[in-house]
Amino acid sequence: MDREPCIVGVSDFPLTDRGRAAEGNSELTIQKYCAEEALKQAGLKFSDIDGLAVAGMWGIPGPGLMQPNLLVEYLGIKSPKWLEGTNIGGSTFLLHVNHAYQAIKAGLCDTVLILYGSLQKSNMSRVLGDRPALYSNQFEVVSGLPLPVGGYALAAQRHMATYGSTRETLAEIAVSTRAWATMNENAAFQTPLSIDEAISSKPIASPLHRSDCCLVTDGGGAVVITTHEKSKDLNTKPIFIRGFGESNSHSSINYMPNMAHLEIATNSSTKAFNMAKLSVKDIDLTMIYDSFTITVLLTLEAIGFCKLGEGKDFVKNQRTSPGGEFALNTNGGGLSYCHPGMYGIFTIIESTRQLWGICGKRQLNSPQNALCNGTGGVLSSSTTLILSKESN
Amino acid sequence: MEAKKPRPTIDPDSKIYWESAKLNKLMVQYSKDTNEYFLYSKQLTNAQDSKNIEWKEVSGKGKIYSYTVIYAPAGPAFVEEVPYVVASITLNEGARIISNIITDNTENISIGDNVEVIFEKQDDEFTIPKFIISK
Repeated sequence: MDREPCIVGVSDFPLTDRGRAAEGNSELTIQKYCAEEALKQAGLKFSDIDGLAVAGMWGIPGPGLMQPNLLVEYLGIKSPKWLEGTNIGGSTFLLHVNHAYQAIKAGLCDTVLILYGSLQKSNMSRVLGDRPALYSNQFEVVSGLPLPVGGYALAAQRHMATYGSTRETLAEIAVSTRAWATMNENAAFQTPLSIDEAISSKPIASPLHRSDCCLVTDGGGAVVITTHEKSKDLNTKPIFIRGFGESNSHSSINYMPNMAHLEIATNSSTKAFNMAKLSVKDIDLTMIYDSFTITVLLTLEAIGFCKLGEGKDFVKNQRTSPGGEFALNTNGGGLSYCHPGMYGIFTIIESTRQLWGICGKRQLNSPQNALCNGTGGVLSSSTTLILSKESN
Repeated sequence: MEAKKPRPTIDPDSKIYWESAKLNKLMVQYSKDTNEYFLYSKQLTNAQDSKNIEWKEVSGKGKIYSYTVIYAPAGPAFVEEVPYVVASITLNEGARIISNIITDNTENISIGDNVEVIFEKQDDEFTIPKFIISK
């Protein structure tokens, strides 16, 4: 039997009113909706699920600390054979795909459901302060570093001083991402943004301004993975997991080895490319977790789409906008589409839809390979996935 | 009511840092195996063996590794301070630590600037090592 793992269903959660879930939802109803939609798309039932991966930042302290237990109970998944609840920040869901791949390939389970849900906007639970001054981050919390934005600001300042990138460099990324969002009817912000508007937006933590920061929205998503063999009976064409890698280096930004180089993204992407036997030249779509514009700049360089320090030229003149040379964050990203707190799952959902060719106005011309990259914490963890229409 | 500024949850790896600050001394950890200084995390060093680590007083002088001027404060407790500077500082001995740079001119700060420690007493229980630009 061909156990090659592949994605067969995806769903995100519809949002209104600049990123709000409709009234009457909970984190659980959001995830149930996404699971049902993704399973329906594939032609699967809940009874086909024998593995579950889930992570989130809700229900803590309380049952949210053990989300796999709660979701298995709530969805009525009988006797799952494989569970995953690792949380390394917003990069987590790519790690869940990596681990699901290994479990399915090894025969531990056949069909894995990956889930995420959040009501952080409706609950107004996202704040810059109030983080406990614990462990290695006690020093920065006492100093009043707003988190996570202040951590990313330190990296941005270091990158600018080291390589000569500027506020204009970061604005290029904010503007091109918004241009993609104008073609996503589920995006929170669909009106175009200009370079001047981005540069003159409100300062938050220098050198980062409002337009450099991800949104605060509700949202959720689901991804269903099964074997190539089982996928032959399903509604969708299989999207293969060609390569993956994961890495991390620190918890507090102060201990990031080199704030101008996201070394963990070099590590995670190198592993992914080696496994896939592909290189940057083979990638038709790049989905990078844009928690902040600087995250994108650091990640493009670290993966090797350009040399270290050359990101400023790489993104210049809207090269990453619709119709540009380099397709980047075509859903409008965490900057303009949605950012429920842990955005990573949306890089997988958009890549899969683009490879299926179902993205409507923003659909790329027959992409074959997509790269997803997630960053978690304060540039703390990195995960890379290479998805493809063809198997290894 | 004025919001209270956060205080550290002092633990075995930070106790001497905060206690020595009360005595206006800056102390960090030192690995006798690798001759490297650090505070809390070994991530920026090659130090591994915890048996060969001790606390040492350091000069309090260093350079700005990176910094950010904060306009959106970390909660109500920091509203009065805006704009204020949080910096990652590489001490001359090698340890990287994070704290505030006290300055009237937040525009006039650069990576690589020389800084030196001052001790800002909050009350009898708590003093924070902060930094000023060296003259």
